[in-house]
Amino acid sequence: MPLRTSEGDNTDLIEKACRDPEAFAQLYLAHYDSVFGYCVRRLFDGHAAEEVTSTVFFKVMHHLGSFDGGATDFRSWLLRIATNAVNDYLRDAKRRTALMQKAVINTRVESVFVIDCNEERLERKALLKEAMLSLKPKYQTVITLRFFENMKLTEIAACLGKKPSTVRSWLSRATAKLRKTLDATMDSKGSK
Amino acid sequence: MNENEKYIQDFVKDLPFDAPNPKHRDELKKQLLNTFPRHRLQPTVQPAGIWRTLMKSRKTKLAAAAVIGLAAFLTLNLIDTSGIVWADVVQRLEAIKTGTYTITEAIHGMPGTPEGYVTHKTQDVTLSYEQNAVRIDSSLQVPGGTRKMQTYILFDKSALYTVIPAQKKYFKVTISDEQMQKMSEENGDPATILKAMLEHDYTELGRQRIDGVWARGIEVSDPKLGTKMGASISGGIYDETTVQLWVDEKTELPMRINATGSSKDGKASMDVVYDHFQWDIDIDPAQLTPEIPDDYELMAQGTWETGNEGEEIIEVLRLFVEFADGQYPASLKTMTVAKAITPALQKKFPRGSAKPSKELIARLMKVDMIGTMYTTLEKDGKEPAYYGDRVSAESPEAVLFRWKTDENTYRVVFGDLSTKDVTPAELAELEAALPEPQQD
Repeated sequence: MPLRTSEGDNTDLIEKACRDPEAFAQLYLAHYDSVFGYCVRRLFDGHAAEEVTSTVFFKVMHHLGSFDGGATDFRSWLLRIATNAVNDYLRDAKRRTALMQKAVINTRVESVFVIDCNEERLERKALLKEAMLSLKPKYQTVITLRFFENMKLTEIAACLGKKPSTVRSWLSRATAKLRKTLDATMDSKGSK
Repeated sequence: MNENEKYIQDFVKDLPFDAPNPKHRDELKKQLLNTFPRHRLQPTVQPAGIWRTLMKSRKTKLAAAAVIGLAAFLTLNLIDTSGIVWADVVQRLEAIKTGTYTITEAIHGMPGTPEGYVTHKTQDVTLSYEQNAVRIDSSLQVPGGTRKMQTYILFDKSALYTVIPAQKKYFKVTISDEQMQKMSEENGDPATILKAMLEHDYTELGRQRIDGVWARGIEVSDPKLGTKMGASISGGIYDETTVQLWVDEKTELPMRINATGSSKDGKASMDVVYDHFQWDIDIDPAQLTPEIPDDYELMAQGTWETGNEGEEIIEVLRLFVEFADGQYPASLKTMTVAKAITPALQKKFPRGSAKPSKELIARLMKVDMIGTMYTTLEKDGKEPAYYGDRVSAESPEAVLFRWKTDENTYRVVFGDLSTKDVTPAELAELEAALPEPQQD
């Protein structure tokens, strides 16, 4: 469920949403699922994702007047706000630790109760959670944008306000670290 | 895509994640719409100039005061080098002759309102430096209705009037020449806010589009912004204050001021937006002249002098001995003091009972100014200190409040409000004996 805002999206709606609550509600509903989807892939926890999604939309509401781009840029703008909000959330070390612990517990609960769910996927998700949350937020960001939001390097760079070469470097380090962590965890659990 | 990237791509494929919860989505929508910025509901007025004025500030209604800003702008802002020379903006402001603007406020914890109640206030301000006068038309939503009043500050007549047409009542404050001079230096200049901000460690907020106009802003977080900025935008009202000022990139005049204020205990806060600025417009002189009908009752008449702040503060504290069993407010921030005295007064003067005397109302009007008076002492280097968080009237030997009266003398006010002038050494001894602050 990557964040998508097609060219067909009405930039008028964005402008109107600055002044008109109904238009803002329409814009909100059009993007809620996408923002939540991004947050939950970064945080691996539905409640935390809801909390951060709330933060994101309050920021959007207060700063929509400062947005000065087209419909396509709006996606990057939203993602930038969401990224900052998630990183702020994770910056709290206690929260981060709690989130990691909760992530493990949640996955175990999922494994027990979600009978229909593919166990192998749940196991993979659990491994990914632990490995991702152990990375620096900037590495988590590029991985999520690249592999869940399916963004190109240039798009990620534009979204984060970084040079493509910087993003390339981050992505290279992030994927190497993530793979190493995943491999090590799987080795230790004998699940590879 | 290199090997690692392919590996990750395969690894994350088809992973199950929580789906959005419609209940949260609907609840968040409600919350957002309930707090949709009210000032945006009106069409933007293209600024013809800018300015702002705090003149009204120091003496206006206490509750009206305060300010606020939204620091979250920073996270969104593509900060770049400002093209604004702020000193030039000050000059431009000083050349402004007339102006109007609107202040929109949301006040949490207004004294006398139920817990959790948010008081909304709007003020349409008309100012003329040519006529040396300000008029503020206020509309205040309180439980049970809306209160409207007009405040006039007539600098040439050294007078401030607050008129409440619905009740056919008015208040009058005479401002001393010295205070008037101080006001004209500190509050009467439309460049006051900006000047005061530039004297602090301000943060450049960069460039941002506001209501369709490119603007550049600065931000200051400092409760001491106060005395120069007037009651509406800070001074002594709240413990924390953040002010943002945005300047239209084309006119290089202010177009938006956002301010936030909050008390330490979190019980009182305020969000304020100044916008709809119009500059150098024609203003009918009659608009700035109060016409008070003969049948209007003068509720109270007070004076506002300067240089007497310490004694005035004692007078306000005396209200707590008379009406609040000698339990003093925890701090001398205006909102804290007002919130502390309000329940006691409501108890003393329940609805339907005899109304307070004019003399008492005149004393209560000083509560509006207490925060500013305290910050004036600070600004004037009089080293004030206040210990209402640990001293009550039951501690007649403990220091409640003090300030410096000359090079080697402090005036100490004890728990029973008796006073004594002491040396710095004696003061140190007295303050060493102070009890620890009470925990909430």
